[in-house]
Amino acid sequence: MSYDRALQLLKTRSIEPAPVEQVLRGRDQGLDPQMPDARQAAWARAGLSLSALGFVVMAVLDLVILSPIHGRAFAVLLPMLMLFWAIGNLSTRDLGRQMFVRAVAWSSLLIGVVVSTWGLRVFSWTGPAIAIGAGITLLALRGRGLGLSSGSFRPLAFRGHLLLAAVMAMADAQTLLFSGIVDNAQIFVAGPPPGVGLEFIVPLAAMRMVLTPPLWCGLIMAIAAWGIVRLRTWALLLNILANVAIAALALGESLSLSLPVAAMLATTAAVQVLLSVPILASAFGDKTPDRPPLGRRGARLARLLLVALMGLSVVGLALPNHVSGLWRVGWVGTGAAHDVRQGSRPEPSLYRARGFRMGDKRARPLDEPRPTTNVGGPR
Amino acid sequence: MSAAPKLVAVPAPAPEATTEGDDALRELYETHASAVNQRLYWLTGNADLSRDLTQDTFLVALRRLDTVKDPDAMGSWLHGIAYNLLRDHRRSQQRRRGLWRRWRSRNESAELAEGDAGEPQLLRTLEGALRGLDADKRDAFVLRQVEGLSLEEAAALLDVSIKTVSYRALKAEEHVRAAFDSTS
Repeated sequence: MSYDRALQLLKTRSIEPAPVEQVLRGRDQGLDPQMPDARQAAWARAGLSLSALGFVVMAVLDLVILSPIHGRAFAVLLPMLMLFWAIGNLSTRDLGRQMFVRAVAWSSLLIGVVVSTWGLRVFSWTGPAIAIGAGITLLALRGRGLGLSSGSFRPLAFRGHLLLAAVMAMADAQTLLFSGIVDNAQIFVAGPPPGVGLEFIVPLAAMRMVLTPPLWCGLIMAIAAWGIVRLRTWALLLNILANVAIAALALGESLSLSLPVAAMLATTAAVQVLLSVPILASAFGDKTPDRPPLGRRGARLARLLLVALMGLSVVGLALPNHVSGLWRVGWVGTGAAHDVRQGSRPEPSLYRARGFRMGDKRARPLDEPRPTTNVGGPR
Repeated sequence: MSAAPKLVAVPAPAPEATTEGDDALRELYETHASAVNQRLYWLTGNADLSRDLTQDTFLVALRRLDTVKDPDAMGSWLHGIAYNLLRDHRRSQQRRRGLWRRWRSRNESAELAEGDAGEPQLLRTLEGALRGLDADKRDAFVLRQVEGLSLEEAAALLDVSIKTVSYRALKAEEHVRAAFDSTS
């Protein structure tokens, strides 16, 4: 009886809201509870800076310890510049930029994990810094800033699906472009970059570039992401096709990626294809209910995955050579699947550090002078 | 030349911040603010916090008015924003406070309730019992027992299954009833 009476009392207890003038004043002062607050922004900025620092150290290591003309420092420029751009746009009230900040952080997280776990030993120490910095940023920002409107991205339905699809496409684009540029980083030395692709000469730089599968997959994903942000149907179709192609190429060993990295890429590709299904079904007349792609449980799982990846970047460093060494062939594991399948032994660190394979005619000891005749020129 | 078709429907551009915009906000606030504030009060048990969150809710709503799918469902849309902001607030509080701090804070809250001489004993007992619940159970209890929402409505707002809401509300009710039994 007393319980029911207490409930009655609580129901009749009226609390007045603040006057509307306070809301108007807040609006005029530009207050926005959806944007990251000062503390969150500070953490996110610190995380992005740590990631960027990791890439800077990687570039320095490449220039100082390895070959100054190898070109990896050049390849690192892409994620490094993206991270600096993200730091500058962290507090921008624009959905497109907020999405891009997330994409840059996710991409850096994946690159960090790959570098520390399956990358060259000489660079692997920078992997945890890159991954943990990016992870801190994502944990600090969470969904802040993603509830904003954007000039072109203002969907009424499937907002969550589209947002996630766009962010994943952007992140994939950056990761694949980075991977493709790394492949092409050997343009300054003799021998073709790994992978099959369209070869062409960059006239002004007198360099030879090969449009390897990661490069063109990255370019297609970038176009798809741009189209999704503009809410184009063709972009989603392109995204599905690109993801199917990426999964097939990755698992078919055509992307020059080690097996675990290829599996990761194939998984994210499958997730993106699944994300697109209800949107396209709805666009073609199906009455699919618009449910958020990540419920509370999904968001928790995503955070768990984030922390797991951060942990993996640290654990990856400690993996003994006989385990990780099988896959520790090149920065992103060139041709590793072959090594694992054929059971070949890990290559000596000297050759691994140079990204060459055992028996490769390009390989030479560190104290041997670099060939100069073919630097920057066509084969 | 017509523009390329969009993948999903997009809203009309949001109105500029003008006198008409202010009037529209006033109208929206007068219509919905009390209900939003009241629910937030029941969910938090803190009048000041509920007022702050109500203001935040309308600040967010103001920026997202152009994304409202169904103007008739404005109320539930606002309650959804309010609940998301409340969850954000709780998460940030959890991060900020360690276990011992949370324990101290809970006791401080209880002391505040005890010290409020204007409230009848029953209400104080109820508020004390609600503070002893974790956030999920409290939410389910408030939506089901205080507001009288259906299981479907409560589940939709909390973004959990109907079974989960039902279980949480039941457990919360048991807890609150036990608090009354022990005081009597």
